[in-house]
Amino acid sequence: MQSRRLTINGRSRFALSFGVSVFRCFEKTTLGVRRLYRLVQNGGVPNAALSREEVIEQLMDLFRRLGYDGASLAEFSKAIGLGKSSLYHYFPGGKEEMGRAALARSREWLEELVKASLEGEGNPQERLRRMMQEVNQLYAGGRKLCILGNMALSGGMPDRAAFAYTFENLTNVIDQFVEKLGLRKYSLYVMDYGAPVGYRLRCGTRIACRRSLHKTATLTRRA
Amino acid sequence: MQALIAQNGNAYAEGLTEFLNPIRKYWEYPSLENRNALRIMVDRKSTEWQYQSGVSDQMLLDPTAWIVDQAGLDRPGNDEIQLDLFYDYRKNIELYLEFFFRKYQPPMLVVWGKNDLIFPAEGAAPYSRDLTTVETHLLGTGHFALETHGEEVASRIEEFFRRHPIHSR
Repeated sequence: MQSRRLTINGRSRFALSFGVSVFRCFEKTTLGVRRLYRLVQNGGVPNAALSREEVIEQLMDLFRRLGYDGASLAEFSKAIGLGKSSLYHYFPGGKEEMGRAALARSREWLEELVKASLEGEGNPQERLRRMMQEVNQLYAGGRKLCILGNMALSGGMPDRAAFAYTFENLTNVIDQFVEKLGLRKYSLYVMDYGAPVGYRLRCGTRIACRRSLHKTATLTRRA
Repeated sequence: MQALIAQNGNAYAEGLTEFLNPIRKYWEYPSLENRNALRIMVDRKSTEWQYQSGVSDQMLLDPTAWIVDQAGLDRPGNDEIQLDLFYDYRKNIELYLEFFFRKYQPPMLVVWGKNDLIFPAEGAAPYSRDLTTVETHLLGTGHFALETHGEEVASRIEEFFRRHPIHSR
């Protein structure tokens, strides 16, 4: 897709892929060295001296893979190699604080990544291309998830035995939601499955909401 | 109800085309075989297709959209939920004529990706038959029109609300 728009010659393509490989390799090596250093330093007890920042790095990976609801503190503790009490020491607010920290760090990291590539060496085309490469690598060419997306996905998906998945029931849920928000005036943005749900709302004729319904229940608001 | 905006959201029999045929078959004969035949509609390829089909410039699409959607669909048990909803959609069709907008007549903006094969442009036109205040814009894109035409839809909404000031209603 990219090469259709930005055609570059063979040499710079080689240079770019070489650069990316070096970057990857560097990343792996530094991780390895850090781990090894810690092992030596702590007399073989892994991860005993993790800083909050390092814990956040691991949390980013875990939240990204497992989503917000997908992992328990016990799993975090096991994967990171820190006791639950140590996790609470760094994050007194528990999982929510961990989630917030991971998202905030991801954002900073992405900004740094984009900024560094765009402000780096080379002409604008090369910099843009480097930025795209880096972002592409961040998502492993589309095989890795967006951390925000996967965390946002978490949430209620009641079992079919407990909740019959019908449009009538979906409408009831949204009706209750609207009622709870206490909206009195509203405009509705409907899309796909949102249309039959939105058009069936009982609150549609009474109270108000502005919303976009989507399979993934996106909410949009007009300022 | 102050205003309605519909984007590739169907409420008319005219807007149901052959895309629905395998689902119709399941409605008519709700056998396990016909249910299983719908499973491909929630696989990764179908999800990608929903975003890519009808979009002339694929560069405008952010792959994150379908990757995240698919992660949701791949959660254990979610496929059965989607199949339940496919089966239940038939009840929406029965209710099409009872949807509240006919009675309450809110000002309505219709923005529609006209290359959508799931809910094609045929479903956009009939709104102007039933509503007194309606504005329709067909956009040169597919099902998820906001993916490529978010800016345009946003300004259409702003213009629409300027023309139909909702705070006075």
